[in-house]
Amino acid sequence: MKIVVCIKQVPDTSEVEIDPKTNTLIRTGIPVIINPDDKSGIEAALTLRDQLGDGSTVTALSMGPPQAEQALREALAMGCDEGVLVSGREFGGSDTLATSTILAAALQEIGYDLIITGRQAIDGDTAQVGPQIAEHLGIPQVSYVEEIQLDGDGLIVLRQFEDRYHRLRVRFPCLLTAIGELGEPRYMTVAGITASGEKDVKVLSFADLSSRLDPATIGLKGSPTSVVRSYTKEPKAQGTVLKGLTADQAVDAIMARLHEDHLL
Amino acid sequence: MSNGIYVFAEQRSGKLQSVGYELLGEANALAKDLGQPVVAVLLGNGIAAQAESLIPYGADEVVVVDDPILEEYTTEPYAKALAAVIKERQPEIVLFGATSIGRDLAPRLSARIRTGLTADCTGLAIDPDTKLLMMTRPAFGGNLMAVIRCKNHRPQMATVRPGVMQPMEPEEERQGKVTIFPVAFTSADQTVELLEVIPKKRGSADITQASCLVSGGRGVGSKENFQQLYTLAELLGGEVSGSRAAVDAGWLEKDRQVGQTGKTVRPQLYLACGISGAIQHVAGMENSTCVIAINKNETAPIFGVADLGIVGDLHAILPRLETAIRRAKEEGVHYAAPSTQDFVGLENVLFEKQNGIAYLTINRPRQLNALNEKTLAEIGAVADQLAQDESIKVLIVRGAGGRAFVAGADISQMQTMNEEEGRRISLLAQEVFTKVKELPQIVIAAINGYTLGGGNELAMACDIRIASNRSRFGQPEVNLGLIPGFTGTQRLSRLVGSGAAKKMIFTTDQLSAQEALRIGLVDEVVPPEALMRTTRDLAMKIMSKSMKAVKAAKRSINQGLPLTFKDGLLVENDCWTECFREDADGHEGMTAFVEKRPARFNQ
Repeated sequence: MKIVVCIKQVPDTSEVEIDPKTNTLIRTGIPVIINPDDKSGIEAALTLRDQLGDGSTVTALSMGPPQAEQALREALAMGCDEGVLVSGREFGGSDTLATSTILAAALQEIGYDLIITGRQAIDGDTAQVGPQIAEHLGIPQVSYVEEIQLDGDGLIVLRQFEDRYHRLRVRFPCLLTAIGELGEPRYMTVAGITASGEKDVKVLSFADLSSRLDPATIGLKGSPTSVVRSYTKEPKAQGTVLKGLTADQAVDAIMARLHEDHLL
Repeated sequence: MSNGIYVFAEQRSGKLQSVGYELLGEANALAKDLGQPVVAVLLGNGIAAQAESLIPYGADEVVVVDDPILEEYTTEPYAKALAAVIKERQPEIVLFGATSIGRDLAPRLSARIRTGLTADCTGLAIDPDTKLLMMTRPAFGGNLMAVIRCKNHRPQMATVRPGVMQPMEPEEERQGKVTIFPVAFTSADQTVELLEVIPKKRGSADITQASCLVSGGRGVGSKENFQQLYTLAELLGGEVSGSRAAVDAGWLEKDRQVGQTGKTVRPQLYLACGISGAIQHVAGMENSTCVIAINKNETAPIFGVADLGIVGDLHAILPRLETAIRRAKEEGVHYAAPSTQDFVGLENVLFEKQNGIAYLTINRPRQLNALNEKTLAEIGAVADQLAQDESIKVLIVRGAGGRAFVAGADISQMQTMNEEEGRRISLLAQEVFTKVKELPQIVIAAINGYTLGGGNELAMACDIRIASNRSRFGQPEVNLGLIPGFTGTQRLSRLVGSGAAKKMIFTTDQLSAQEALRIGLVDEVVPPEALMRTTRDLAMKIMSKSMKAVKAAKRSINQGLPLTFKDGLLVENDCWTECFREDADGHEGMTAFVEKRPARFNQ
């Protein structure tokens, strides 16, 4: 069976800084990581492959600039069998719909039985690309998955909602979106890092996918949505910090605030 | 030609979800700017009977797809039904709640219809020129806000964060229709097999929905010590959450963890106990309305995001806090801080003072803070006291309950009045609002919700008006055979000009906060969660200036306005001259400027 995990290289959001003049992200020198939900997806894929033990493989698939190869190398070091990078100028500026269109074309190109994506990326927080890929491919999706069990020609999964869970059976091919509860990702191993150095990351360009892609549906021009403007939120005003109070005085200060803000 | 603002009215186990009402309220606000009907789409099994109940909340039409396959949410049948509705009706806009259902369904649909979708919006507006939907959403963990549009594809679709938009007051007499929309399902539409529905066990908390969180970190020290936090949370009507450190130590379940690897929360109150405030934790709670932090270590980063930080021992403070809250609750809603004891006898307003700022809260939330005779008299009594109180520099006027500033005068009290009684209530209101206008303090209205009739007139008696983007403004008097009689005809025409005033009064049309901003009825519009903070910061900014000069400027403007320009200049000249008096701030201010040092103004 061929399991494909879609991963995204994202800036480590806790380190994000905004250029106050242009209101855009300062990307230079920002540490990048594999998106956390995607990493849980890799873990789930590797676990499934090892349970199957039948020669099944895990392919990590990413779309991004050439530097995103680094994220795929990390996935290989964690134990993925293959890395595929979709990269090209034509893809730049894609919104979620255009991105999912490109990734769906890449998935058709490389083949799949099971696709796992992270629920959402910490930079965009949209949670849209996974379900959109499933629609383009015409396969069922289950999002917010926190448990996976093999079951014959499909899976039994636990799908989380705010107030309930669904236990669902879904047949291959299908797409799951993974949440953190799915599993703590394993670390890269020394052996894995060594082995990953010997594996190639395959690059798919627009030319490789052109038979499957309408240029009018990708990139900045093929994106229905566009950013009109962006701005940083006003920094919160400095609060009051009180020290050297007795416990009773501290309680008075807290009560005054609770009262003032009608929090009682 | 696409037409209509469609709202997905989510139900679970046959119960309509609050986010649906919120979206209907927002859709109505958008509909006013777009001139299109609002349509709710309700999917479920045996759900048609509930369709009517959406009409009072703002649905002009409810489209129902009722089928056994829609009993529990699964992606494909819901996507098929909505795609059929969208294909037939060609809506201009479709809104979903950004719930775990909405965020599964909406992207599937956007790919099927091939249109744009904007995720997890916190603000929606219609661009006045292009009539396009402007969708505002946070990205990068809330570090960046982006405004997004969908120019050439229809419908324009968005998922909207629950809890952000304001539902309408239900209007029982509102007219609307229910349309049953047939969709032919086959067994092939059920692409997944639902084996079991497992309710989340009671007791397992949904910390993202709690209005108050008592949150503990490493400093709490043990699982046993968390019991104190549970007691406080129960008293405050909230839940317990914690940092990753507390969860990793096994003191707390994982689903109560706040932060980048846990949940993002935005309660009214976040009480952080023994939490250092690592950046990953702060990312999950920084949008809380009020953050109070207790930590032993004064360099703890949590103090950087706290509205109130206490450097101290939480083990000593929390038990005493519990006692204090119990006592406050036993004294009832009208618990008064010590400084308000001069005002024993106030029932319909709350009055508090803190650090030079006074807060006057119209406190009849069940009546949407409607003004009756007693409330007017109490506002007058507070104004009389304030006029003599030099310790107070700024007065903030607001409404209790979060739904209205003041929704108007108390109609039930006025309907039986004779001519003389009618004259008297207007004179009383005019006198009270004039007192507010003429206070020596700077008066700021913090407006959240309905500001109608007498409420709008009270707001206009303030010097500056800050409004949350949920606020609605109007003068509905002519609907009742009345005119604005609490200063409204005079003040509104002077504030926004006679044309805009007449349009508002003659049509009784309600204005959104943005429209009110455009015509100059309010001076700033902010999200509801930022309202009190913005207002307080504005007060403090003004207080950092020479208050003598600020007050003189207020007098010059207020007294000059009704005069001819030439007479106004005489008033200005008098007020200017005062600044040069021995005990005024002019000399100190100019000397400090020349000496390049901060000025020390009179307090």
